[in-house]
Amino acid sequence: MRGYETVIGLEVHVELDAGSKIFCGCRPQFGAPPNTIVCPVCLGLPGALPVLNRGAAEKGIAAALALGCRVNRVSAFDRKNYFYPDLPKGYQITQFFRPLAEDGSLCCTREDGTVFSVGIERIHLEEDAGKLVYDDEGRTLVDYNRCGVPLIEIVTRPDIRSGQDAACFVSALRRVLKEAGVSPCRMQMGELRVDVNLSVRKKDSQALNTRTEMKNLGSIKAVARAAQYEAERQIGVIEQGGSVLQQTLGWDEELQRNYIMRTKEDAQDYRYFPEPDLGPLVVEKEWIESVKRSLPETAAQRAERLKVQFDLREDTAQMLAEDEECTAYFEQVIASGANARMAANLITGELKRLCRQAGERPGSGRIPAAELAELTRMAGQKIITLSAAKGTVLEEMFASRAGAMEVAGRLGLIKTGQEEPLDDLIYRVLQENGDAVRKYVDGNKKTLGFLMGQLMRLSGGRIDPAEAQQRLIRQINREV
Amino acid sequence: MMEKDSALQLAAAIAAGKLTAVEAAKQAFERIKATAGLNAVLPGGEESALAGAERVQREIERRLSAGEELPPLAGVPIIIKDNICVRGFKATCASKMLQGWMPPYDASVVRRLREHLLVPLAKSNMDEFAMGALGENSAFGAIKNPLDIQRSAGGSSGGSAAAVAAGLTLLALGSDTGGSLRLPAAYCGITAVKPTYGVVSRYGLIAFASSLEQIGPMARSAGECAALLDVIRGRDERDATSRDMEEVCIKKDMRQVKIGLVRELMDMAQLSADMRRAVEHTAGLFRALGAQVKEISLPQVKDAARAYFIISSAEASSNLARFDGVRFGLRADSTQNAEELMLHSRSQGFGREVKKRILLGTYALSAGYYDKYYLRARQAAERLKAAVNAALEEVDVLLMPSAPGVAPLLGADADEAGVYEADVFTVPANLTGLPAVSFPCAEGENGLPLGAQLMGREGSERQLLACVQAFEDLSDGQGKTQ
Repeated sequence: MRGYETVIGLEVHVELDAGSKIFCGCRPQFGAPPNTIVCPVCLGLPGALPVLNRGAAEKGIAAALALGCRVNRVSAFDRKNYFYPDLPKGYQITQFFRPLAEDGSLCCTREDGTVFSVGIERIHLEEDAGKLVYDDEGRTLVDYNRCGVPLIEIVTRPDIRSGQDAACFVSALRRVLKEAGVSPCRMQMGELRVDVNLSVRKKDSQALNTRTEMKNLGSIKAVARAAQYEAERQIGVIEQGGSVLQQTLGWDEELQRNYIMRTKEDAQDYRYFPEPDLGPLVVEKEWIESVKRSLPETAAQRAERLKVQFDLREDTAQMLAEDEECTAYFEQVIASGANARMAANLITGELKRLCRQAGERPGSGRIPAAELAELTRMAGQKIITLSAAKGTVLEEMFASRAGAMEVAGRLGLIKTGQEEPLDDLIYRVLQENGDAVRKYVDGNKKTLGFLMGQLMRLSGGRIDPAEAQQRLIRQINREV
Repeated sequence: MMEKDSALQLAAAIAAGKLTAVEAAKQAFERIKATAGLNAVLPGGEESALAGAERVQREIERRLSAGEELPPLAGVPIIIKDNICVRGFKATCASKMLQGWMPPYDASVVRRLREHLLVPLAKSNMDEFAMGALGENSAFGAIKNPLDIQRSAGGSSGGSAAAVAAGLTLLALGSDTGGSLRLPAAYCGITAVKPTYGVVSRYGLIAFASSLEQIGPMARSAGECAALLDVIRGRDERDATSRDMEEVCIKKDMRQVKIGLVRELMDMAQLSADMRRAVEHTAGLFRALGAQVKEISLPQVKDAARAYFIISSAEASSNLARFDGVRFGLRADSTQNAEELMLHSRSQGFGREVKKRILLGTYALSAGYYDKYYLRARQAAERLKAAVNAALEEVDVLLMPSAPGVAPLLGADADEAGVYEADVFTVPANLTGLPAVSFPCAEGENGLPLGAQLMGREGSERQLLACVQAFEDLSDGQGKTQ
């Protein structure tokens, strides 16, 4: 945008699927009647004390591992002090000075297949607050059911460069966290909430300028739109000679615009200090190892395994590993006897493209694994040409859901072994198109395309175009 | 009847059927009513107490007829400081803020009392939210010392100390954040234990300064304190800072015990002459019992009172944030919005001393001051802990005054800094987390008691109590006068 670059860092709150609240035994339940999932501890009654639920810590560790973070052997809890009716103790227990985990990253793939990586600065454990409810009589009520629900906050580095990429990161993050069993990440239920920190700068600048924070974006679309809107607003301010103010913003879904929640002047002093009621959280190696063993394979681990096991290119392996379904499909195709590289290329290339057009995913099974394997076998044994396999045959299989052999037969693409030899075909083409051959020899290389077209037509598509072109050129050169 | 009896003897009488737990409770209530002027015990809860006594009596009879053994304090009534939650009794922390608040649960120590068949009898008056050393900062009026009603019973567990000293009950529970068990024990001439941090669960203790405080027993002898401590001690899954503590080896023979006298504390300007003499006299008696006594230097104690004041106020500012009028306790009338509701409720509910400490603590944690105050106070506490632990490599216990002197007169216009400086003798045990026992060691002016304390290694409560027991045995033989 007019020589500007957007710089985005995210803070993502994720509700942990830990079975109970973080510091008491209450079992969170979405949609329960107000103030029924509470006890002296999460209500902050006088005298009640928090005790860390190890299950919550374990989910935090799982998230850290899935995002490639270093889990600190010793982390600790702190109090963030502020007054608000939904905060029963007058402070939130969080990890401010010593977070659970630090320094990870997440690799994301854009729609066009390009890849970018986002650094994870830290992951810390904390408790959720309650919820204000406004009734018909204009009263403000408080529901403490959500109080003490275990959360992790994931803080990224300012590595994201557009609202689209921010949305893409959140999708990737959701997938990884769901896979790792950390959380179902249902944004509509508040299980994943995103704050966007955004600033803009001149394209060649490395400066981090004054940023604004957009709080609590409730959908992936809102992340993309709010960021896009805010980037344009900030550029507009700068272009008009103004300067961006440090503000906290909210996103108005109806008006599709941001509104100001508070400015820097009323920034709170949270008076963080170590939580005296909880000891340090010590995570020994054995604990990390046991969490690791219980984790399903992550996309990155899958990619690495596929790469090594089937000798694939890195980017191909990554694309196959992107979702579990796709990996499983690829593995079924291999189990049905397919050539690994050819199958991988088909799935991540032509099949993926067809699927995208149809709004499906490669692993959805429209083409049975055995049939895709058959297609690679036919191409491998030169029963049909590779180009036919990747092109018309695959397209027709996808469209008609018919088998590889049937489609190839129907389209007449099966080599019978009694076709006119390729050299004879080339001879005929050269004979019938003397003018074009001369032009080619005189330096008009475009006519080669015309000659190839004639050759493919004569062969009925049963020849391999790459090989045919090579031999065609060789023959012309020989004749001249 | 029980002026001279111990709680263990009372339990034996109940076990022998000479008296029921209900009768013991009723007699205690008679005494409470007769001494209402002390303002030691808060009204209310009599029905719950008697119902509890009846349950206990039935259980005692069931066990006796089944031939089961009874716990050593079965049937004994106990008074509990008002910052500890007991089902069926209001828990007010002697504050308007919590006036009338009924906790829906028992503190873990109370659960243990009930399991051991003790009878929670009544709640004792205290300094509001345990902030105070004189028992004067109560929304329900000052506590009077039963030995001289013109004088302070000490604070903040003044009500519990006065109750035991007046013989209302033989046992009481108090809490100690910076001396709140030991100071009133000293002023009222009884014995109290501030346990090692973590030995007793804090679940259900309404927090003042979480990292410093412990619930502890009060009684008229070391033996009773030991029996009560055995009931309440031990890890509790509801308090993450509680733990089972291995008992450090006990030397019952005083000839094996090395005692250190802390020079800097003995040289404190605020220490009265008769208190100094009393501690020296106590050291002499221990020497007579065969103990080695040597002087120890701990210059770090000079920072202790200031460090304590910053840390405790900082934690209090956060711990007391939950009293906002939203969910329980006092709620201010006719406010326009949530902010006003919280502001006015807090302004009306808290007393002056509590407000002062909240403000101070808030300041000490504020951006830009955290490093300057809170962190430096923590560092001072760490230095003190290292020095005291090093000293406790050389000696087994440290002998120190519990207070500057005898109980001061109520309403004496003591300058505030001076009041806080009196904490210098007691706060080291809280800052280091180490156990300390205060016991009456001599009589001072007007025959009023003077208290000394023994502080020891982590988990050495029994050792400290064994020393006090040895001292009691000797001084009982000789009379307590100097």
